[in-house]
Amino acid sequence: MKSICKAILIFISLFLLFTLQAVSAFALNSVDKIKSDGFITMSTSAPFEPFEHLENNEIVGIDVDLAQKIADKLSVKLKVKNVSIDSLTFELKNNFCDFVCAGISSTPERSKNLDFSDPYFSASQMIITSKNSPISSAKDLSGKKVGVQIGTTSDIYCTENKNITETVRFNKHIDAIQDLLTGKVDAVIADDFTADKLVSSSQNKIHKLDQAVSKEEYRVAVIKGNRELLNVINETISELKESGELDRIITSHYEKGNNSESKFKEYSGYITEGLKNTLIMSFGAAIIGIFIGIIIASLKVFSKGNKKLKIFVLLADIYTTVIRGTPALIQLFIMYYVILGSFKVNSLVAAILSFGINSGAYVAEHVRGGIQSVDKGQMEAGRSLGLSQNVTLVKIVIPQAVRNILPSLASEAITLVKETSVAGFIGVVDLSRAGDIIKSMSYEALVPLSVVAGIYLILVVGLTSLLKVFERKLDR
Amino acid sequence: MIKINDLHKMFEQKGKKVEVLKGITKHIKKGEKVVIVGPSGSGKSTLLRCLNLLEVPSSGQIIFEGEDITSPKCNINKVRRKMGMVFQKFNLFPNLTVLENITLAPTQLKLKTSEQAKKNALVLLKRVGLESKASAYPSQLSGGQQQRIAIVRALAMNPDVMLFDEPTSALDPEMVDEVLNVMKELAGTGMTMFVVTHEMGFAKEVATRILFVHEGKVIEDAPPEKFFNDPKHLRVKDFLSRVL
Repeated sequence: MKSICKAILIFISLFLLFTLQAVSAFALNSVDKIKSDGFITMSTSAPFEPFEHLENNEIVGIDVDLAQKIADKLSVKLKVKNVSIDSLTFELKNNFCDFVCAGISSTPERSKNLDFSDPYFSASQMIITSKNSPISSAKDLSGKKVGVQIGTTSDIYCTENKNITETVRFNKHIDAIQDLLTGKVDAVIADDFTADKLVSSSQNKIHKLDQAVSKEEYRVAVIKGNRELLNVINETISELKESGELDRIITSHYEKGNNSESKFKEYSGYITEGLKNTLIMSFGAAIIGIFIGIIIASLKVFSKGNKKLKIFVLLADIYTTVIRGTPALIQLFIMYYVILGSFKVNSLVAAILSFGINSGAYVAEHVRGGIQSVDKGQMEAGRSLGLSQNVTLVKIVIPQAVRNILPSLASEAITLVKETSVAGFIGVVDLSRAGDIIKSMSYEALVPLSVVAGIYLILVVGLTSLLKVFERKLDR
Repeated sequence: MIKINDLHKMFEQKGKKVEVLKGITKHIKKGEKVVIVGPSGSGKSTLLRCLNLLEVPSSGQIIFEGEDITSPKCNINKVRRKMGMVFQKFNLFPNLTVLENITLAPTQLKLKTSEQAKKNALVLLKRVGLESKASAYPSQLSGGQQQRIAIVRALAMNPDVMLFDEPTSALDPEMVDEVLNVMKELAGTGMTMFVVTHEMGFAKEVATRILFVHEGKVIEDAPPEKFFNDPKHLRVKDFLSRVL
């Protein structure tokens, strides 16, 4: 009977999730609506230099300037959102933004859901190979191993090109270059701008071939059917082209991209931003986790035999079972894309909620164990003196329980700090994401990743010693 | 002072119902020292714990100072202030100092200001010879000292009745006397006492009445001279021959 109840409850919760998602099915943001709101929202995915990247905690680049011109055309303010590249379509479908400017081109896959503007930039895919390599044109790639960054146009090109024996997909271009230098791949394909950066950062051991393997054109995307907005965007683009303004924007950003003086400032900006977000997430999630944990644990410990609370105990059981039985990353995705999918919620908030709920399940078990580890004679002694159950709990049992569970809460806190590193998947720039971003911007892996690892280590060691001090204070 | 009417207590053990108290009716007057003895598992501790409702009776009544404390209308927290209890395992609060252990309940329940409670606690500590331990933590004390503190903690509430649940069973033999002496001293002040114990010497010396519990029933209820010299029940004779 109990298991049937459980199954039904799980089914109902899943059903609710899907309905919520269905409700989120969009209504188009018409141009009139945008004008009356007074702002337009653009989603992009930084860093993709020089189209979008962070400078002094602000996203700048060719795409942002173009978006600004579009906003100017409508006489509204521009809001810029930075999300992960694979959620751009999701953003549009759920009306989280009005258009996407992210250096993307029109692919058949994307065209199913999105409409694309006229091109504003043409990027070419270039071959990078070592200087002594026999490869001198696209034809020579047949029978070779080629490295690409996953999900890019070069990835698609290689996958469709049957001549290439093996396409090796890397998370970042720089990783592909590492393998090129050690001879694990024969060539790397990347867009023109990136290719130049990669070559110049590798001390001329490698070079870029002159001939492009494919031409790519970057376009602005809107949700399918939003012709009205698309017309405004096309008008803006053609005006910018005619006046030469577009060329000026592109050139200025390309030149800035080659100037590396401000880089250090930018990198440390990412690190500070990342550290701030990691701390906010860890702290926020810890508070939510402790709150949920204490409630769930008290429910489980003190509601034994209470029939009115039976349903809540069952729910609490389902909660701890489901949360502890599924990966935190999946929970994060469900929170952001499904549960909060129909609300315009900041991804940082979604991450705090998700990690808090996740942590709560573990804290609940620790707290429950802690309360049960306090001898029941303690409660009896308190009650025999005429103290109420609540007073005895607060004054006698919980202080002892806290002391007992402090070590396990400490390890939970450490887990939590490190677990927040998956928040990058929904676009939160946390510490790990910052390291990743710097890695792909600087084409250098060792330093940024070591710095990030070092900061995590300092955080965890600091947290551990802080709790040790606290523990010693409680020990008498 | 305390009337026990047809007291029954059932426990559920591994799905089976076990009747631990099978109908006990007693009337105890103010100032009596009732010592409860009997073989282990006979229900004597359960009987004691029913008196302040640490165990809730399955049926029957307990009337304390004219109030039926088994009635749902009764505020048991108020009743317990008047019934001090001392446990086999002391149950001092390890997170509090000796002084805090003693003053917690009187101050929490707003019976005394913290100044008054502290003063009173020190007077009581002096009475049991542990004045110097006021700021120590329970873990720093011997078992005998802890049990004396536990008695003081109960006395700090100015109870009308003191319940002792095997107060010396968890002590090393050389510490038994220091606790029994405190209890004897307390008996001398006229306190009404219920003591579950195996200390027959104490029963002989202090008790005004000895109850022998066997299989959930009180089968002997007599003053000590009669209990030790001329018990009417064969089971009691058998018990005494083994423990004396």
